[in-house]
Amino acid sequence: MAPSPAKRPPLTRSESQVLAKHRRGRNRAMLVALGVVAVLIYAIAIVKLGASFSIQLGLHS
Amino acid sequence: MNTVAAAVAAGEGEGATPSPSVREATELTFSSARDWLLMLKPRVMTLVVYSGLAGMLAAPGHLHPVLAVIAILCIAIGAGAAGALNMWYDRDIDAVMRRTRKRPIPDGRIGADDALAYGIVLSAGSVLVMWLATNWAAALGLAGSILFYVLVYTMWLKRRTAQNIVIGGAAGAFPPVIGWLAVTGTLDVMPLLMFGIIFLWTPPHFWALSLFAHADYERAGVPMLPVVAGARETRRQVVIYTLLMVPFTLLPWVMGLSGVIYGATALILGAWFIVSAVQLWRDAQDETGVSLTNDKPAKATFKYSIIYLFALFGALAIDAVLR
Repeated sequence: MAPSPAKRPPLTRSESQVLAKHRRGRNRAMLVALGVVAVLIYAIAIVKLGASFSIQLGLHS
Repeated sequence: MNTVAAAVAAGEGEGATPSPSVREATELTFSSARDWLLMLKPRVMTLVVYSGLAGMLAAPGHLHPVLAVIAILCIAIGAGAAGALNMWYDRDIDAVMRRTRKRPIPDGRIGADDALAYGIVLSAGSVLVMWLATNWAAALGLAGSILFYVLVYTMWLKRRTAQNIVIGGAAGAFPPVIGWLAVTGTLDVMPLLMFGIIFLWTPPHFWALSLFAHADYERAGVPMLPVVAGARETRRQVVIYTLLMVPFTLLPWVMGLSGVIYGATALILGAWFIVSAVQLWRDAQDETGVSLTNDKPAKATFKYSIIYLFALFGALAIDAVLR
């Protein structure tokens, strides 16, 4: 498991490059996830509003 | 442990050129996006999505295609979140078992607290979006399935009783009911039958796996049936549950809730499941019940059980769509 912060040695350049690569990957994944959630909420709102409008206009019982 | 984590833990970075990433290193953020995806148990998710979709297709009524896709996504994420919480709770035994010791938490790539937060956030999010997209009944069903899997199976039964899989199997049986609820908002006989089919299918499916993976469970101290009662008794139980399951799968047809496509499929596939279970029961074994064939029939039964459920629920959905 991870050593305590006091004993943890500094990272080498190659290690920090790997960390940076992983961080970029996680950030991109988070961006995609947040984008998907936003699209989902919009989609739900549009479908639900569309259904209620069609009921009000008498297009759908 | 992964390369970077191992290098840091072993102190390989000592004396090397300090990099600007020291602060990040102290936070030990070694996980990749793929690790977070693995936390959701994507393989298990496939079956969950499939059975949820089958429940949706079998249900009478109409759900807007966009909302149906969102509901399926919620079922998948909810199941994944339950898997993440399971990995968080079981991290001690996962570290001991060969099959699971490379998972992100025991391998040191994801912290336990992060995994717990991840599981809770995704659980709450999936239930909330399910409620917004469909109805409160489906959201309640999804919440119930997550809580059942985490609290009843993972935390309560798994480490205490050899019947863990029998009762815990109910958690995996929820998706078709949730799919049905998403469309109709009410319960009926058909989703309960679908629940019963997966419930009765789980013991033979999982015990076939545990017959050739029991060394792992033994090492971790998990009281799976082969560990507690032996391989011979486990084989007998596989046959018993298969004989209970196959007639049960015919009920939708017998009760007139599905047509001949499903009935014929259930009959043929069920007959083959019984043959497979009997072959497993009659596997060449020594006096202690240990297989002399390297558990070949158990492996065959396990593989077949997966194909069986896919085909059975596929037939049920096709039958419902064509009726």
